[in-house]
Amino acid sequence: MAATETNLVTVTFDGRELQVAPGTPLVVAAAEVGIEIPVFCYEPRLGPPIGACRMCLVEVEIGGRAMPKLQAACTMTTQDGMVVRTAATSAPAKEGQDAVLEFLLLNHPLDCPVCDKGGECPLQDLTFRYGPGTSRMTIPKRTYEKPLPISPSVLIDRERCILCYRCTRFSSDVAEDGELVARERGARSVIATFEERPYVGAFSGNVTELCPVGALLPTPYRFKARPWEIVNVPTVCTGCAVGCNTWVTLREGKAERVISRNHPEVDEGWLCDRGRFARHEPLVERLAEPLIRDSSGLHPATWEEATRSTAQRLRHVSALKGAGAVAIVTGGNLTNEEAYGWAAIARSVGARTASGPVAAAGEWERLDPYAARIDDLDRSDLIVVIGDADVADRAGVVDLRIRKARRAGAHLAIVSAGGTILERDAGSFVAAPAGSAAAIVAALAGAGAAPAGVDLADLGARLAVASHPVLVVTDPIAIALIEQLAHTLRLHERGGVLPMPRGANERGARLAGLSGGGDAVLAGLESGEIRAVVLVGLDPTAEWPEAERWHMALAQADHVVTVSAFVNSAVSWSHIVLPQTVDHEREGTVTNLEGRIQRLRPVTKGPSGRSDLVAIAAIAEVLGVPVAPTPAKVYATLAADLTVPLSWSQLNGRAPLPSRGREARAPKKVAAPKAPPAPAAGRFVLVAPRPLFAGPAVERTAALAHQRAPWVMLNHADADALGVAEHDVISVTHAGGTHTGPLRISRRLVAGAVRINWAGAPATGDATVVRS
Amino acid sequence: MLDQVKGFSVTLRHLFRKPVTQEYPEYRRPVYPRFRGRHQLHRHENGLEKCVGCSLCAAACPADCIRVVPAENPVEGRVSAGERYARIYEINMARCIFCGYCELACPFDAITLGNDFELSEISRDALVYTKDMLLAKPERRTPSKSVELYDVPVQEMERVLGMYDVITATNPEGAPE
Ligand code: SF4
Ligand code: SF4
Ligand code: SF4
Ligand code: SF4
Ligand code: FES
Repeated sequence: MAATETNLVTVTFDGRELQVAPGTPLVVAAAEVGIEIPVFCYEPRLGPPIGACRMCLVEVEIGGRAMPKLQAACTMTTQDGMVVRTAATSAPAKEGQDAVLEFLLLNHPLDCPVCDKGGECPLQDLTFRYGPGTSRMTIPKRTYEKPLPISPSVLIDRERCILCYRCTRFSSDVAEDGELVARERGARSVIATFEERPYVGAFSGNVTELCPVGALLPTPYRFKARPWEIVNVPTVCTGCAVGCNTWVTLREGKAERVISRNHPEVDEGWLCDRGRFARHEPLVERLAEPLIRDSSGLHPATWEEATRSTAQRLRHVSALKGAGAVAIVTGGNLTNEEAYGWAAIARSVGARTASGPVAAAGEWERLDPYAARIDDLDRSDLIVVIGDADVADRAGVVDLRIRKARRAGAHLAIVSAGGTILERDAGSFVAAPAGSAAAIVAALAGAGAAPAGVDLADLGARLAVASHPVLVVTDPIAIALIEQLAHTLRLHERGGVLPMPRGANERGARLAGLSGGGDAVLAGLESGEIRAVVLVGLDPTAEWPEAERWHMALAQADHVVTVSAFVNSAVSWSHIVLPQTVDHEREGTVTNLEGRIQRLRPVTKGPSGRSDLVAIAAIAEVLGVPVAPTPAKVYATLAADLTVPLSWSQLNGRAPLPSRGREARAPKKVAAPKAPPAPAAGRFVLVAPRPLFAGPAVERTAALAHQRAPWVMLNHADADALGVAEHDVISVTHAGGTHTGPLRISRRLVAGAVRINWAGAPATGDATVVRS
Repeated sequence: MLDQVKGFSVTLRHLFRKPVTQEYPEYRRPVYPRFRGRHQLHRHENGLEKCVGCSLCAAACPADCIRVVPAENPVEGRVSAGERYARIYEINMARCIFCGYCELACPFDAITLGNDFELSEISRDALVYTKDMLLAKPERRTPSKSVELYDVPVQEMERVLGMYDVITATNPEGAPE
């Protein structure tokens, strides 16, 4: 609270005096003098307090005159000379509090023994600490059918609901999907969705953490454990590059759930459903032992054989064919330490490396002088999102942060082909042809003309005058272009650019030495220059563009080593397969999109029982390069090279993001990008950014099946021309395959484009659209 | 001198007394009804298990010897009366200190401690009692004193006991059902 000495007011809580800024909610002010006022509905992250539960009743006296009734301490704010008496010192407040709890429990079932919230339930805790202790309720309680799935991943038990409206406020004021509502009135009020449709939203799981009772609970955690039987391990989500801080709940050796570990600068306590629910299960589908191919196929081998053979092959190829004949390719999901190990191996065999599909779109360090922090969004007055992909698909909870900034008054401008979720709430929307993000960035930077029909004048004017603009480019375009725009806009002096790496630790991998792009490796493989390739945690035939070419190229390589958690299609081309651990089995550090280094802690052991770093160290040892097999030691080596010199032990808890130097050098000029070719007559431009809900873990998670349900989106005019209506099943055939799903009609999606939530290998180009 | 005679006379006196040692297992001394021995899981009259797998007993257990793994009641063929049931319920009798806290903690009176203490086994593994074993009645039963004697002072108890016949393992109360 930015209060100066002069405008503080004096408030007395239970005889303790406090100087506080006027307008502070009483519950917050009381906490400052160490007095707890119990609350259920008060949650500042959900916006202004609404005073729904009345748990926070206190007696208030202003200027010597008592207010006639008890006041809700969450909605009442501090004024000078206020004297507040909580239930601890005031009999009327105590009586009121008892009555409120008795009232909340009137219809609350005695479910504690069968309720998953039991043991970590605010209603239980506050009733125990403040409640009347006995019940006078003798008549039957209200009953409902229960539990009902409000979505395939969240169950609702309406009997337990105390109508605090936290969930509906989350839905309407934070995620802004407006899907959860309160229906009926009085004691019959229930939390519901419209027409009993499932609550489908990328952030729906957060309501299970917000609910102060066991009314909204996550389906996958149903009856899995009780709070006294678990250990919560602090770690970080590696679902995307945001790096939300999480607790992973461990019971009897199994990771049973993921909940938020609120890092206010990163996630503000929110998680997306991918981070919360995606499971790397079942374990039987995981690769558990190394495989080596002989003439009759892949056969199990020992770790020693597999690592030695890998090292020897790499050394052999590099000795025979010289530097550049080996390539080490990752999708940017390694820890910094693993990346460092692979980079050391790469250096010793003169290997080329790649940490993302396209080199030009991965040079994140170029943006460092202009890089914004995630919480810069809170301070921004203008947020510009350029690109066809949705922010939520690239960086989950950043979407919520942008919405929050918009609610706080920032202007949200979106330039895209339309059909994204965020654009519905944008302050201004500029429709641009599909795939024209690069041209738009170039045009804004004054390095080219805007695509035909796109008027960027208004946006340019806003950008020129904004005091703290934040730029987000969601499509994978050349970083040099973004750099140029950032420099033109002088974003190193105000605001900044929020990088959107594709892999969870793409930035860290590059910093550790695995720079480069898959496009160069692919060309090298095709020309025969690269004879051996190591694919670490990545299946380029499923996750990267040019899947078909990758298939052919891998088939040609002399040696393919795959390091993977699951069997994927690259395994069929591999000569050696090494099992990999997944996020909650790893130890190490990851660097999020802002450059914040955070620690991953191992929660469980992978089925192979061996950490990736140990295997990397074994390969490195054969090659004669020293790589320590423990993350802390590798980190110490790495930290010396990193621009952020934090020690291993400083990475505990909520990792800080030290300030960076922001000296910007004039970027090199980049040629204006070519406009994408127009589709042939009768065909549509394909808009298929990789959705948030994609990848091996998501595919194996039953609770996310509904989030992956395919859909097709067309402009209303195109739909009319095709004679198709909303919900008709449409087939879209493109270079990557065929995608079939119900039609969504958008008025914003540009005409002549078709948007799909295609989770397969990235596809661009054009497509045919037919009713199926 | 006199003291020595006094001392030995006590010894001699006791030498010819009836010994208080009771031959076990030939003679099985009844225990008080509230003696805490082997646990028993109970069912409702309709056959459903009372235990809902809430783990409160496990939380209360100071020896940490109860393991409960709950599961959702199947739609067909419910197991317990609540929303969930204990799919796995184990008590490690080798660790149990027979404190009875589990019985106190249980909100459904699903678990109680019986009188049976004859639990020795050849292997430790056999001392991990599973749900089936705990739901079944114990194979051997320890005789228990009459319920009327519950909570009477000890001297009184001994007086009344003298009026009892020797209770053996074959008495009706001790017989397996
Ligand atoms: S479901 Fe939970 S969060 Fe929603 S109103 Fe009811 S108690 Fe509050
Ligand atoms: S936003 Fe990204 S880091 Fe956060 S929970 Fe979702 S996938 Fe994980
Ligand atoms: S009697 Fe005591 S030690 Fe034994 S299982 Fe019950 S709570 Fe645990
Ligand atoms: S025995 Fe009682 S306390 Fe233990 S899990 Fe079953 S219902 Fe809960
Ligand atoms: S916390 Fe104040 S009314 Fe709910």
